[in-house]
Amino acid sequence: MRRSCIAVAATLWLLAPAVAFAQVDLSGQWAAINQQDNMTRGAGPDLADYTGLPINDEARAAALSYTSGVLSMTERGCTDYTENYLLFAPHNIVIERVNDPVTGDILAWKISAGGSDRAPITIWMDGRPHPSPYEAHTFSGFTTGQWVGDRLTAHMTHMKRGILRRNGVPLSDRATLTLHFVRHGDVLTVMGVTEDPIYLEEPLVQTGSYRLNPRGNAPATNPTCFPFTELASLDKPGTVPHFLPGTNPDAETFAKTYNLPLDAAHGGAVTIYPEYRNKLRERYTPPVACTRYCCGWGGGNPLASGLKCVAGGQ
Amino acid sequence: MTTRLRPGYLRKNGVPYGPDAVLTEYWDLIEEATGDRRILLLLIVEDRTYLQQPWIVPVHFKKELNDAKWDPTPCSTRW
Repeated sequence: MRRSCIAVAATLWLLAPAVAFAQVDLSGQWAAINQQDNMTRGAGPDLADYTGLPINDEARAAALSYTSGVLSMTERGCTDYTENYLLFAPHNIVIERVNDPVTGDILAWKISAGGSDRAPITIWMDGRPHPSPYEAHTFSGFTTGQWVGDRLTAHMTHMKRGILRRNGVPLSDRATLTLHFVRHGDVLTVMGVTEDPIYLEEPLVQTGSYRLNPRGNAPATNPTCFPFTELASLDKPGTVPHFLPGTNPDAETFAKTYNLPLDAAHGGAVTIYPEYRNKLRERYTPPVACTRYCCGWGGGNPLASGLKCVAGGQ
Repeated sequence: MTTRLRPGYLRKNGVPYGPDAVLTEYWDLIEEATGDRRILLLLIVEDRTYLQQPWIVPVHFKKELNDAKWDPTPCSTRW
């Protein structure tokens, strides 16, 4: 009996390091690289540019009714900062390991906003269950995680209504978010899979990468978005800035600028796959000349390069 | 890691990379709870000729149910 106990203990001892080594240290300050989706993360998308989004008709209608004036309303001023903002924000992130004060085990990973108004994401690693579907939804959501090899996979529920893109494409409070954290050397990549039974025809997949900042001098984490009155006139009951159906003056501006068929500019699952190009082939001709963002949305850096950016194809 | 690349373009609007560029790729296979399988590919391009720092871009692919959409054609040039 004693011999078998020793054998079991030895086996457990051998297995323990293997479990530990299957994890990766994610803690530290991570600088956003932003060499992908640069305009979406930086200056922001064009109005009514829904390319790449598998949205349904309901989402499209809600997005076309959007005007950024709603963000000046006290009760809607924070709707841009639900947790999925991590996937299209330009900010750095800070990841902290939260230890159980008694056992020292990893209780959770906390992903701070690193300069945005998004609330920190707490990924519980202790196996606790998700709350009842009827529990309150918060800007933090509720997230649990587990290691799959060297990858941390987290699942978030209980999100608030928010946005999928900064031009008003909506996210419902029925949405869930799966986050995959993959570290290779000093580069951390986050892949997010957003599922929304109200507004998406299929999951929306987004990725972003960060580089470890060994100096630890990233901006301190902001307080979570706090609503306040920006325009007193919007506090009048019943006042909600919006466009009625068919009245959005910029519904076709993006499509016309780039000669895109309107259905391509307005998204949908069918538009995000390579074979959609075959459907566009007969209906698309590139613009004759560049008229906008010809040297990048910031106008390039002509002072550094000694070049002069000329729009209009001159 | 790939070296000895022919010079080419990082972006279809003409941003170049040179003959000394080094391409490092990390391939991660991710299976979702829904059964969807995806590849998360991290690309890192280092190029002392044209880049001030590495160009780092993650991209992703979704596994198709079959090869019905697979119709590759060789690269060709036209006058």
